[in-house]
Amino acid sequence: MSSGSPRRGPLAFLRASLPRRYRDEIFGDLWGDHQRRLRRGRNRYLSLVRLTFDVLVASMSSRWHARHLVSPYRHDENRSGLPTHTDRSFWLADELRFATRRILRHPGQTGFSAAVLGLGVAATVLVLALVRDIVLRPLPFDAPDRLVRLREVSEGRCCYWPSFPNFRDWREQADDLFEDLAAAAPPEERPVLLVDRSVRALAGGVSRGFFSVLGVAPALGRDFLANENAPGGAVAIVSWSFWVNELGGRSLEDLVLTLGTEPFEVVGVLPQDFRFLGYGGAWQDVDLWTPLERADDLGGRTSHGYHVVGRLAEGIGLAPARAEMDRLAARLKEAHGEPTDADQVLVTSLLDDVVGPVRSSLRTLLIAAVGVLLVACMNLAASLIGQGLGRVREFGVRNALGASRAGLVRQMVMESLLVAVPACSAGLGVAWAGLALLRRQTVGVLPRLDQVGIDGVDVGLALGLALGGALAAGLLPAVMAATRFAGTAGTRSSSAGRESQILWRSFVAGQTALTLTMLVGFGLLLRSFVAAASVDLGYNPSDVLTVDLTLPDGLYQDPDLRIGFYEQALADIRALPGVREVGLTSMQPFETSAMTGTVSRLGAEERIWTAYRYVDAGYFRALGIPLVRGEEIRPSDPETPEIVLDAGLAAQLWPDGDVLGGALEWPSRVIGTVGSVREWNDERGIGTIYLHWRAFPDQLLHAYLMIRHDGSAAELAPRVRRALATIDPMVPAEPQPLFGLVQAQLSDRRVLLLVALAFASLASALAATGVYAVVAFATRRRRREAAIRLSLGAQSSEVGRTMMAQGLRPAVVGILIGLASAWPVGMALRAQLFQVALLDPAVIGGAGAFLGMVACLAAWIPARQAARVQPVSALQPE
Amino acid sequence: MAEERGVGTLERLVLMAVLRLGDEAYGQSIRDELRERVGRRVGPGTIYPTLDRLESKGLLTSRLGEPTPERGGRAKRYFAPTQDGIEELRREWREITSLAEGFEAILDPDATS
Repeated sequence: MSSGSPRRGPLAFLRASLPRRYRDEIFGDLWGDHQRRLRRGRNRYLSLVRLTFDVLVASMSSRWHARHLVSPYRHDENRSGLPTHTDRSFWLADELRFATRRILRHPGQTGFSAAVLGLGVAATVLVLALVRDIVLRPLPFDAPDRLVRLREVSEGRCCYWPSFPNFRDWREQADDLFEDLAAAAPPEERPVLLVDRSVRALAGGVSRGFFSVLGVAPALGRDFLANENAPGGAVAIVSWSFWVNELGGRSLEDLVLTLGTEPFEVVGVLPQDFRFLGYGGAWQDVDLWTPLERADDLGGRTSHGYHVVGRLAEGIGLAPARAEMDRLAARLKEAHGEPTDADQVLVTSLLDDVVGPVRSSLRTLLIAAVGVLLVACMNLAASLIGQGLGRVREFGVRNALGASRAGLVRQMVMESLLVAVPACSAGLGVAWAGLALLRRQTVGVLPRLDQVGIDGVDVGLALGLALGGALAAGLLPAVMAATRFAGTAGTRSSSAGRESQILWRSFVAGQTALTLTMLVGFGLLLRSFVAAASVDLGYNPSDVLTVDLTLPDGLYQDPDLRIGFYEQALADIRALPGVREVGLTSMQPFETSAMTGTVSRLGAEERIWTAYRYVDAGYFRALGIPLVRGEEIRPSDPETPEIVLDAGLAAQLWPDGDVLGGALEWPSRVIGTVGSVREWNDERGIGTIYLHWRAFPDQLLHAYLMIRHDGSAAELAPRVRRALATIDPMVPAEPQPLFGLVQAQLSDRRVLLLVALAFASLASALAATGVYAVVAFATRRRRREAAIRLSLGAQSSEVGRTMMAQGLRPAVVGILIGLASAWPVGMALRAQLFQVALLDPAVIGGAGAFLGMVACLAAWIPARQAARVQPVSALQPE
Repeated sequence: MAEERGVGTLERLVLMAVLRLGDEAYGQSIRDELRERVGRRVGPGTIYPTLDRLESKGLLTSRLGEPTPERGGRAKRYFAPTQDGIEELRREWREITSLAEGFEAILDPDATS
């Protein structure tokens, strides 16, 4: 056996972990121990493990025990206070100690830098987590990239949900394109009777093979059998949350619930993360699913009531599938002669369909977040440069006392890295809190939000961003400060080298330009938000209670029973004290898109997209929707109903204004027009045709009461609930203030704008502070120069002016650059803008003026101080 | 600093061991001595800096011995107490014995039984 301890191979690395001073001795001893163990017949590998362990322990303990011996303050040739690193294995510990001490001496500054960097990290981590988990993460289905959604395109108009007969044809005839197709009826809220109580649940229907198309197997129990998805199949599959929360997680044996009048046997429970399309862009957790094809009538070819999904056959792409489906649609249209809207079939990736609508919003957020991070780094860099320049004298002295330039750079980099650690933890905390807030505030706006989480990758990312940001921010000023000033040893501290002046001025200009871009973006978003918030809804939602009524369909099959219930409810509630008006509607005023279709005037060609609504006259009075012309809605003959149009729609259909007494393409007579009601972000709005509900009781298993009241809603609500319970205790009713619902709707849609706005305002505020700091610092540095000029007889006012002009120059350059970048900012944000021009003069002018003022103030205050200073005091050594 | 002038427990033990070992006092032998006599396991990461510290306080001197073939040419550092080192031990011994006088029965039960 060779006697020497190894100097190459893996053990050499181990050996190198020891401080150089003791490396030979310690490793020699431990290697000797290892050899002795081998001679005593110990296992070679166990002994090597022991050796590794011993070396690591010795590496730490020797550093600890040697701490007094290598103290930088006792080094013979270097009394600068900084370690010289003649023995590099000690450097990390020493640098760390030194930087920690310095940083702890300036807790305010460190805290500020860390907070700023932390916010940047938080914004970036949060948005990246959103992008990753919402946009990029595959759907939780088997081979999700082969899943597509199919919709009908009619007369070039996109997109209609398919009708069931069309779906059935596709399923039968496109089997070479798809492994299988399946349809789902979107979930509706329905009363469900459990053993001991009644709850409201979202219930949807699925066609044969729905879950197997998605590649989802129930977590418990089984899928529907083929013979259950046929008339008579009274079985249900429930969601995990419904099973746990409402069914108490009971065994599936004999688990039965009642929908309508019919008992359904629960046969399966879906996995916890199962979600599917609902109305609108919803990607939701549905409480229970029943077999769709158990119903006899699933609608005609123009009843667009189903989501259709398919699994592309192996090797079939989207484009060929689209082309083939279009040909199939054309063949079908010709073949069966029935009227159908499906001229073409739109085939899209299911993931695109779910997340498509929020992609651009998230992109805006990402831009804003990166902006925040960038500004944070700039601010940190500015503060470090400021310190670096301010520490010229300190560096000079240290350099003269023997500290190397590399040592000074290492020192500053270490200080900025030390900022990164608190920044990272703060950033993660803020990101986590932000996500929790977003979850609570934005139910239904962002699909899959419940699946967004901040995980280990994000922690790593935050650490990387914070370290990277701090390093980037620390390196430039470190090199600047150390190389430029290390030689100037204290005497000429205020007039630094020319190169560093140029660097510094470019930095000020860059920071100012970036800030202005931020401010322009912020201004555009702010104007959009104000414009959106002040949209006139067309009705007054204050002091209105709304009651969501769902009649149990089993008990209210008879239309007369429905009419009876609603009439009784309207009469009883009208009689309650404090109620001014009460009305009934099939849909809430903000749900303009729930029931729509195209319509034309009798004898006219043009078809217009409209909403339908079944109401009574009390509805308009309760909501304060004004009657514009003609008469109020009233009960009429269902064969030729009298209808009321909203004024906007009336003007579109009857441009000549001769609307009263007119008829639509179907038998009807217009008796009046009312004010238009708007959705928030819909600039044109969609017109509404109002019919009186009495003639259409079959449409009204579900309705809302609108109650305009005096006094407090909280007092009225229980009285309304009691009044309704007296009529029929089986009808669940929960009165809610309409104002709150409208606010929730609006805030839902505004929330992304709000988040972007929050980021932008944060970035702008930080950036403006940064600009102030750098300009003020640049001006303050010239105090000594001002004092010399003053003592040589310069006028105080003139000195002030010169200094201010010099301080302002780089900021002005920055503002000009920033103004030039207004156009790209507008382009990047345009998806989020609402009623604001891309180059809004008020925004751009305002941002420029604001930043100009900040810069002036930042230059003026120190310039004035310098001009007033007593020359002697400024020239005295600090 | 007071701490730099005074001598810690470990330092005192090491100093004693060096005194006992005479010409054969080097890192490994000092560690062995401490393990056998006192039952203390002192790692090499602790022993060398402690020896350095004692040397920097002027209580020990060191010299490099002849390289031993067994250790691959590495020279051992041999240690010996200085006059100050011996004086330090003597002073401590006096302090201990004068304070301990009359308490032998308690402090050293083996001696009386």
